[in-house]
Amino acid sequence: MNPDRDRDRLDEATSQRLRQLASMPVDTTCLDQWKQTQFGPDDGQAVHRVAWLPWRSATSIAAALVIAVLIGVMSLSGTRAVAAPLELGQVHEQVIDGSLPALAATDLADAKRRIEALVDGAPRPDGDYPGSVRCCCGEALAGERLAFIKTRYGQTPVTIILMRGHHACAGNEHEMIDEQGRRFVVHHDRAGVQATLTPRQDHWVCVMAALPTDDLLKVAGQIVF
Amino acid sequence: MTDKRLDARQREQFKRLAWPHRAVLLRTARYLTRRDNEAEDLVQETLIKAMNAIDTFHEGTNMKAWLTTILRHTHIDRIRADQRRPATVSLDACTPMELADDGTEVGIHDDRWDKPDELLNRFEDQAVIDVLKTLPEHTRWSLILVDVEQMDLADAARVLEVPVGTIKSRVHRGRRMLRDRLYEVAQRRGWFDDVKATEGSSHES
Repeated sequence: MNPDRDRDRLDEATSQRLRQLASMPVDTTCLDQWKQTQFGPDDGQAVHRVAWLPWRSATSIAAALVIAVLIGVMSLSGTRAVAAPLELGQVHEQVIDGSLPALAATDLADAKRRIEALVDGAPRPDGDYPGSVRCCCGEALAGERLAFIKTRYGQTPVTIILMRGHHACAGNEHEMIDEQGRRFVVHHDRAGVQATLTPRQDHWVCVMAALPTDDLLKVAGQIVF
Repeated sequence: MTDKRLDARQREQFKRLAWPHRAVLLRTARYLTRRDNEAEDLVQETLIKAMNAIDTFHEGTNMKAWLTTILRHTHIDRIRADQRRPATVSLDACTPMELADDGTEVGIHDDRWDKPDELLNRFEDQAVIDVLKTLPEHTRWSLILVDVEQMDLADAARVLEVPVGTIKSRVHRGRRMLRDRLYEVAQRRGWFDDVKATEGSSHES
């Protein structure tokens, strides 16, 4: 084995992988709109909006559906780029207090159907969930799709949030707990709400509740992968 | 600030020369900031500065490098301005992967790097970006310019205002750090467990 040659080979492969990032589509809608205010409309910008049209349409449709079902609910305000535990905590609070638009679901199958209908591309619950599903929703955090399900552990409301992997981060105060062959990232909130995040193949499952760690892990452990 | 002071020629020059690079700027800005709206603000401010300085650009030279230099200075100014503000507790405080660079290369002699392309391509783009964003900023800049944007070393050195040799060493170190951290992500995801299991079963048989 020649370490220098190995290193060169690894360097080349790493460089190649980074090069691929340049082919990722970049949504320039915000800049195109800004340019329009500066220079007025031109023909070129339509091309760069195409990628976002389906999602924006889906959002509008989702909003319309929610309003039709639950009149008077508040709309989700503000967007954030990274779903840190504290932000997920806010989502949890909004789900619990009913300020986040949500649809009542009769069971998990119903929740799956509704999430699928609401937001195209949202991560879908694909296992069994503890307790009875109370409501569900597909929403966006910083333009990213996520889905949540509200359920209960005893009398304590529990929120299960599914989100794209890259939109989860552990936060500054967390501990890693390995249990039943799975790794749980447990975040402790000062307000008593705890979150446990578990990575899946392409998304994270976050379970949040004002429960002791052991109970929270018990709930998270019941989710069938 | 707007471009109202620009004449028709300057506007045309900006639209023709600078505007086509907006996606590159936005991509770079997203690797430097935590939030998309921060990146958009950063690029918008960069473009305003570029618009107002369009006469100082010499046509035929590297527009991408010129714009990236403005972006970098604007980013530095913003960081300095933030540091002058009273300290606040960010709701976004998060450390996705704060791993120290102890100088050792994880798994360089590991058989799993036998096919580096295969392993690296198994990561989704966002995972690579997430890890890239954990690297020290000067290292990240070097990788963004040289590897992602394929800028030549001399242009990258001019943008970052360091000698070419420094860029080379930063790129080399950065690739290694990125690899190390991706390797650890792969371990956490259990990608090597399958290999171990397969190896184990083949030995048994």
